[in-house]
Amino acid sequence: VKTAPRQTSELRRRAAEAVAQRRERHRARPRRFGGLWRYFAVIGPGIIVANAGNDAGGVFTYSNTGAKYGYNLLWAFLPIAIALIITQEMVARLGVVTGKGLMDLIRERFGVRWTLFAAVVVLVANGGTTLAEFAGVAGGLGLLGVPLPVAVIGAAALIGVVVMRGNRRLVERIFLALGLTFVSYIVTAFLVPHPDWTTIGKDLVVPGFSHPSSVPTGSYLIDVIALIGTSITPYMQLFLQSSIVDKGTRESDLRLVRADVISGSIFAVTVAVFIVITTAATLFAPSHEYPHGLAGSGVGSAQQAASALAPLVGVHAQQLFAVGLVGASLLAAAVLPLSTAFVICEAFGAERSVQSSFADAPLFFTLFIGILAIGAGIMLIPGVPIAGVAIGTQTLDGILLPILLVFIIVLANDRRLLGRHRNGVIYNVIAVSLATVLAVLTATLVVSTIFPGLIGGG
Amino acid sequence: VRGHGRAIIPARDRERERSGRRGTSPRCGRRGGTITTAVIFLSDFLRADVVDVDQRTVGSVRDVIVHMGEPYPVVTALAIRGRTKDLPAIIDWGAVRTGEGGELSLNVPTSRLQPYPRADEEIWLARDVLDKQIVDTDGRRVVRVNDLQLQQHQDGKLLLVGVDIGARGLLRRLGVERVGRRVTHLVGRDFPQRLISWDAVDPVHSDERSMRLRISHQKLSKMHPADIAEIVEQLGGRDRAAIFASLDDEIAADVVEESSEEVQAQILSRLDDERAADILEAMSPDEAADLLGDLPEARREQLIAKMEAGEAEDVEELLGYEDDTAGGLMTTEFVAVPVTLSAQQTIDRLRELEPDAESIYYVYVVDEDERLLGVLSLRDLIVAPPQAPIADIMIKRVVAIPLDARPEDVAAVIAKYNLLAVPVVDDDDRMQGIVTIDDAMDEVMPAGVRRRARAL
Repeated sequence: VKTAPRQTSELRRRAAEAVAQRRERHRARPRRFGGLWRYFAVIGPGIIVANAGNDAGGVFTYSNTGAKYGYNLLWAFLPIAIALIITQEMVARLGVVTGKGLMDLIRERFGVRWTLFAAVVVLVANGGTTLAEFAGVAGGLGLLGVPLPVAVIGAAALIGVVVMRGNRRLVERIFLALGLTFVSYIVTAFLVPHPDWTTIGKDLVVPGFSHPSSVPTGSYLIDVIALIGTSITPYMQLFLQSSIVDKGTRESDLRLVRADVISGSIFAVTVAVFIVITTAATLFAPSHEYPHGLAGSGVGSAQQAASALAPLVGVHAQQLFAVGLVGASLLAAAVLPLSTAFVICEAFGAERSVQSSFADAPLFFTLFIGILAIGAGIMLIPGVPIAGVAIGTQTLDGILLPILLVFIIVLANDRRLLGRHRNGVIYNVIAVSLATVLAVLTATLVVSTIFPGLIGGG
Repeated sequence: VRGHGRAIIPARDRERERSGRRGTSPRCGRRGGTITTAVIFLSDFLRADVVDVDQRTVGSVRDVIVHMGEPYPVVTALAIRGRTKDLPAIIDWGAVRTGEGGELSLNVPTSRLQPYPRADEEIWLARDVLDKQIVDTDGRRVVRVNDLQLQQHQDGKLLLVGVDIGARGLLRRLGVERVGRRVTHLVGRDFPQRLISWDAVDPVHSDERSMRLRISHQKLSKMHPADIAEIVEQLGGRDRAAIFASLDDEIAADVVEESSEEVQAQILSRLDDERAADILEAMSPDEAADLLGDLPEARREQLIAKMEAGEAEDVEELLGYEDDTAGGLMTTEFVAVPVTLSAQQTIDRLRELEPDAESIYYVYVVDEDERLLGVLSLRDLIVAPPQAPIADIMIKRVVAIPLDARPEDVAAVIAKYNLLAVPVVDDDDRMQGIVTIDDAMDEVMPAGVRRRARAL
């Protein structure tokens, strides 16, 4: 309703001038960056999630791979990269088109029973990953001389306080920045005494399915599953979809989301490859110096992993590694219990908010505190092997991943849900192959554990 | 041959149900008597087998189909997972009988069943409502449908009457409701049903098909815009879009004004330009300008171009002011009248203008150059004799603030003089707009007080 008397006054002229000036200012912004600005508006979730993947579990698993197998397992990263891109793209597409989280969609599409099953899978996988993060905190702070109980209890308390009443955004950014120190592996790879680039190039593309005869089949399978499980973590998929939903990306920006997801995946895998190369060049000794990869309880294994950075920063390798490890682990250890509790409550329609009281949201707080307490509690058991826990939980992730993958594939093929954005044939072939390969690996692992003599090598 | 599936509600179970309950259980069915208002849950249906006239199992229930009616949707058909090929996929509810103890049997021989004609206005309960989110308009929140409550009406119709949103519904779906009840009894507690009546809910589920079906969100649109905004914030993008498609421009504009900045941007991103421009026109110019100011330039100009000239001009003018000044806070919707009018003429002018609620409380008096001379409250106008010139009754010492005043100062002025709005003037005392108390408070209140942040 127009109510102000409309007369051309001096001020109206001035206001018009101001509008014109403002427009001029906007126009002054170079046009050719127009597309780039749009990219930055949508970008984020993919890169952040990819970076979050290089957490304690990742760093230990990759270091272990390099130390134990040298360049022998590098070839696995090419299929892993493709599978990671495909999986994340499906999840991102589901988030953009439906505007809903993954657990939400599982509940709406599959009903209560399947949701309960999926929730248990997510709870176990994410609980395990949280445990790995606490292993990372313990290892990182251990390198800096902090006793393990102090580190673990302190971290759990800090996370509780930050999540309940802190400025989570700010803290997330700090942790994220600390986690970026792992990029230093890329630089280090060029400084190590003699990285054999021809061998690296060959091993990256030529699959070598045989494993060193010194490594038993079961152990080899565990390491391969852990490698896949830590690169394509179940919680990354949940987190990616949630953050895309929160951003409210439009369907017309789907191409940009794809670009974000692809660049994020490539970045994550690149860092992973360089961690393997660096640790392989510094730690791998065919003469059985580290025949079992990272070993030892306490901070011994973290020390080994950290020493791979010595060519870059010399005596400060331990500190650099520790800072990165603690940052990445704390970020994930805070986000994991929170997001897990949140998505499960959302799926079951239970009250969920950090702001509500325990009486209002009992399930939410039980899950959040429970995951945190179990993660921290297990690390407090005397003599727990830090690297062993970190890698073991990634194997668990790898075993549970195909289950979640099946849910994602079925959802991504739903015509009612995605319409013209549903999966194409190539997608399904790659995604189903990944799920199948993981399932076969897991089955082989189970069989070879029960009947050690059945499959060769053991 | 009896089927192995269970009948809808075994008599034993029902009796326990009744004897075990205290307080207000909605299961009001009384068996064996004259009352025929049996209560059934959808989950019971979905586990039931269908038997033919010879008591042979011919299939199981896949879904229950209702026709949206007022106040309660009516069951019109059953979707069947047939054991044999000759059974139609959907059979009319009229061909089915729920016998004593809730058996589901066909009235007519299988061979004489007619295929059910599909109608567009129909909802499949398990597919479209069960497990989906739904708006509880009484509780003003978004809840998830764990189960649905059906009730047999006297005239033989089966109606959808309630929505189960509680843990008990979840356990029933898992088939362990009795276990749950035993556990709660053990600890000496009741295990209450959490049901809400269908006439107090508004379904929000939307897929590509029901977007076309356009569920009219009648109940939702009657809620307060601030409540709708809170509900909309809890929903996914597509559901949000579906709700906005059904709201009229005025309500949609109010809801957008009440939403947080992120949600505003998300809502706008899902609307087409025409519709977005309509909603922006219906918003107050200052809110519209704030929203447009946050958008990328290209989209902002597209939208302004689609808006009506008058509204667009206002918004563009407001966009010219810096955010953190009185000019950036103010709205150009206010009532200003020439000083020459009488009280009655001013009231007539108000009727003519139909100003919005937030700008009606003060009538500003200006000279022919739009210079601010005084202010009248609505009360002053009404109690004054009709013929009195407003120049005599107006308050001449008007508190006004300059265009470049800081938001904190504006809020301080409003608080000190107990105002609902304060006029904004330029260097020559010309009236440019008003800052209302709610906009001023928004600026100075810590963000956390205004909006509870959503976790993750």
